Amino acid sequence: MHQDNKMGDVLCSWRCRTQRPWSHPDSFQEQNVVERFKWQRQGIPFGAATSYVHLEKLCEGSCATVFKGISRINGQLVVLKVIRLEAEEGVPFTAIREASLLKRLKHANIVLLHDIIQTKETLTFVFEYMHTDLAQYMGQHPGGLHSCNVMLFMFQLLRGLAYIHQQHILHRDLKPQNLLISCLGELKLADFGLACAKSIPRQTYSSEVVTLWYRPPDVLLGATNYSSDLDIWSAGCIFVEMIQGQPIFAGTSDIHEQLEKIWAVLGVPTEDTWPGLSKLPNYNLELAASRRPQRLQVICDRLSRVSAAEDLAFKMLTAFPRGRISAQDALLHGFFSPLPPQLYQVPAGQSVLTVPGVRLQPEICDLFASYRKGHLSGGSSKFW
Amino acid sequence: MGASRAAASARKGPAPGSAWIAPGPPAPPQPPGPRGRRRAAMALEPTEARGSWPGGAEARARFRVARFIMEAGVKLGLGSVALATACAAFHRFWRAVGPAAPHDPHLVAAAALFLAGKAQGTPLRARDVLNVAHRCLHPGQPPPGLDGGFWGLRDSLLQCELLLLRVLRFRVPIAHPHKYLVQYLLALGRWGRRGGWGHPRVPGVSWALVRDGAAGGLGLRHPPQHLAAAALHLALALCGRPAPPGTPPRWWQVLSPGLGAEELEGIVRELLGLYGLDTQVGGDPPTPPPLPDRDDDDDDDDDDDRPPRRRLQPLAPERL
Repeated sequence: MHQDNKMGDVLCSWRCRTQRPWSHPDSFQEQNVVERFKWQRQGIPFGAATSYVHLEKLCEGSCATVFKGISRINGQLVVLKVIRLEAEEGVPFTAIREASLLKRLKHANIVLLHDIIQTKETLTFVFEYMHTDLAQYMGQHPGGLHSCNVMLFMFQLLRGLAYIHQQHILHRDLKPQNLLISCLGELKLADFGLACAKSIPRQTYSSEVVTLWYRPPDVLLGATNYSSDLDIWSAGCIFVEMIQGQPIFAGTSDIHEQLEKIWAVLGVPTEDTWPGLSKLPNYNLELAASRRPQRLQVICDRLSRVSAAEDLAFKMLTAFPRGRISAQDALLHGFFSPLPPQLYQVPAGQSVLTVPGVRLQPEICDLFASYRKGHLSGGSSKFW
Repeated sequence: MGASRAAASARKGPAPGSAWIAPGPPAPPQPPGPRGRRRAAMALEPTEARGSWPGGAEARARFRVARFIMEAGVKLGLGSVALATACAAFHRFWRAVGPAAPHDPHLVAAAALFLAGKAQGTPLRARDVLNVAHRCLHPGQPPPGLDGGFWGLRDSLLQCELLLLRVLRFRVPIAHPHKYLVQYLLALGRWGRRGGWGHPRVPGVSWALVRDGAAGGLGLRHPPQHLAAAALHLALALCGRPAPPGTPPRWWQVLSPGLGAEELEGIVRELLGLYGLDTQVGGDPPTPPPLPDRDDDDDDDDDDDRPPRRRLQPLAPERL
């Protein structure tokens, strides 16, 4: 029996290797693989390393290596995040938080944690497979995304945020790399390693959170009592970046430069526009050289092409943290009015793409590319 | 094998907690058979949900370990919420594995502290956890030296952390009554100032009650909102302000919907029961046992009749 399994292992990893590169991931996943793995489905347990076949390495981080894989239990593509246990300190604390939070979060816009495998030296998280992430997607489609797609992605991002904020959980590391996108256009929040459950109001947290570009000014100034407004700022930055095609506050070095970039757009806040500003730890008077706020669309010309986009961006990118719009309110913003109203009735576990008429639009540069290449690229699945 | 070990220690005598001192192969998270049946029985028994802990010896043993968690946690500088996480993790482990489990409870407690530090985003050093735990168990003794015994202990701690995670199914407890208590205090504080029945000591007393309730593992049986309301109710009574004026609906029904008067009384009884337990346990101050020789062999089969041996037991990795 053991021998059989081993053979099966070798066999299917060999078969999968011969199949690469997969030109039609979805159809392949749904038909061939399911058929192929049906014969060995019985008796394969969750939680065992042998239940998953590693396919290729996707990326390597500081404490984890990410593989693409396939589940022998149901034939689905999975992502295997292999976390090395440190000899000194055991399980990395990011892994503990990620697992413990994701176990509680079940939502169509949160990445799904299928399984956890524990071996002697590693801990492997098995996630559902997503084809790309927003950073890659924007890299492949420079110059700003199709406004319908921005609307679709933004709606899903805010829907996921509204859900986790309702559960009193902060993501604290929103950036395009952590927003996974399926080939259908579903967007899911991932990487909850920095996320935390809010416990006591006014509890102080670390201010070393969120990648610099997406870090809100209050946290840059050293505030440690942030709340869900932290994630909203990051989401606002991502929103403008999707429309404009470039990050809005792309500082290169340190906190001061990042703040300068923000003040250059929003204007330098005062105690009137931001009560309590002068009590923040990193506040200093040098910054008080007065700068007047500009209209966002002067900086980001494309914002004006989409109706109500500037207003939504303005409400999300408000310097005063308590003045920022909540995720729930942002979902009701006029920017999303072109979307069908049934979107608001979709249950939490169901993707918004199940609503008829909601689908990913081809980006302009994809249309050019497919025109140039003829139809060799095989339709939309090659956009990735 | 584990059963025979437990049976052997049972034959030697019913010393409180002796069963979980002797290390042995750990039980799987959901063991079938008698232990599984016991779990089911616990879930059904109304006494488990009501009064104080059943089974005095076990309750005292568990309470001792909870007190050890609080002491070590405070020395490690953990906040109230992290302490509550550690205690809840320990109690859940105990409930899942059963009192006859062959794990050293103090090692599990140390692992719970270690885990709680990480879960709260303030990771503790494994070395610090071990040193503080050692100091709590052996006051006045020199810290464990950096020889084989210490490394064995550290590996045991890391392995035990993994075991704890597995038993908890990677769901580190995060729902605690503290935040609800703060909200209730804020809400009632405004009301109290206007009504003139507030008391300056209520916040401190209720906070202490919530902390002790978490240490006693009440979070396993009651939702955090209810615990916070009951702690506040008791604190008001203790400060001589029995209840804010008002006709039904009472304040706790408004703030914590779903909390019935019986449950409120039940939680209050359990909280008071904890202090009864505390005086019981505190009545016999634990004598510090001699410092174990630092080779990490499990050489404790000879003294099963003593009250719980207060030392960390190294856990051989292959036992996990």
